[in-house]
Amino acid sequence: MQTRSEPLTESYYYILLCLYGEPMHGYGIMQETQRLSGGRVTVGSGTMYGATGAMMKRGWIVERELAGGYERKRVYEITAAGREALIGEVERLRLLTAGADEVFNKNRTI
Amino acid sequence: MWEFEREAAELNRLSDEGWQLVKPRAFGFSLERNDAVRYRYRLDRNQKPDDRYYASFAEQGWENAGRVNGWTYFRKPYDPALPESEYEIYTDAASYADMLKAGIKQSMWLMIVYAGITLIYLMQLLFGAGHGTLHTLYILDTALFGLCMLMHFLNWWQLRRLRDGGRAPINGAAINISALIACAAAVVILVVTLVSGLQRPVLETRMSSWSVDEGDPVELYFDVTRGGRYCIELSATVEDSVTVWIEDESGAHVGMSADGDVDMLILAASSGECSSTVRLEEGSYTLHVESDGEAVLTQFYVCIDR
Repeated sequence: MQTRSEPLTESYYYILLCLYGEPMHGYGIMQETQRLSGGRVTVGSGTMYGATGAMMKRGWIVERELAGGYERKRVYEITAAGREALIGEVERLRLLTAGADEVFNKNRTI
Repeated sequence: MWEFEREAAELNRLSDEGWQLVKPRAFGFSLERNDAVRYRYRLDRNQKPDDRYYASFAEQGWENAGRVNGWTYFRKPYDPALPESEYEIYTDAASYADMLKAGIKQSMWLMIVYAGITLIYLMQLLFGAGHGTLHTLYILDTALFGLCMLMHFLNWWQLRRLRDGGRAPINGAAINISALIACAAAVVILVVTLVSGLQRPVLETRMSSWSVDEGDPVELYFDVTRGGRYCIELSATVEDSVTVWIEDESGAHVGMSADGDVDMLILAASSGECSSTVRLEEGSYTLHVESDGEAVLTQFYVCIDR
């Protein structure tokens, strides 16, 4: 099991990122992930089910049923713990790239 | 079972040829002819599928085409314009590894269980369980359970390779079917040995010290309920030689060799053991032990068994 200090997988990362703004259903997450990653990352059904299930167990997201209209819709919603995990990950990634930027800038002349 | 990639590839090929899945079965599938559609199939393992599970697949266009042995068969109409990667259900290594985890665990446990059984059989063989037919059956069962262990080891190794991003070099279906057949054969043999009464010797006597005087043979009685070839085994430490023979109800000696022309066994002084085969029909018998002098048999053991 992953702990908060460990890096998130790309699937986890994008699912949390998609949900950061508003609750979404699985298909919406899949499409938004493709858009946000410029088509590089897709989340297949098996991966989606496994990742959402694991994150629900960790309390990062919850499943809700939207009772709007005649069609029942299941959506996922991010929790405070989920936001924290995502923000922690983004900070970690920023540090990573900041380190790279520093090294690259220093060696630009070579 | 755990041969999901080859099975999906096979279904894809059949679909391209116009054969569509109606229902997956434990061994093989039911198909129907339909040239109007082409599908791409994916098999997924899930022991406890819930609504959310099927919804996750349905929302990405996967149709549930049936379920067997914990595997769900999903399919999606094939669009040649899209790359094959569009039909992946596991898009990262971590979730794929999670799916395989159950199988790795299962094959590891099966491997341990079969290793245990094989070990018990090996120990029994090592300590001389059974004679003649029974001994052969024991060897056979040891080999078959050993084979089961090996098959589950291969399965375990292969699934781990798959999990770590490698390919599966051995056909998993062949592994599983041979493990199943080996296990079934071993169980049949086990049942046969239990039911046939082969496991119980018709006579088995063990004594730590036993004196046999000259002219006063010691008699041991036993019954044979199933006629056939029996193995007689003797072992003892003796000072004077000891003669052993078997008499039937009428008092006639029973031949104690393959051709029946030897009718007694002689344990020479201090010789350890001897054995022979004897043909016994249904009936009651007496085993006689006689000494030339005054023999004290220490660690005397006699066994008449299949």
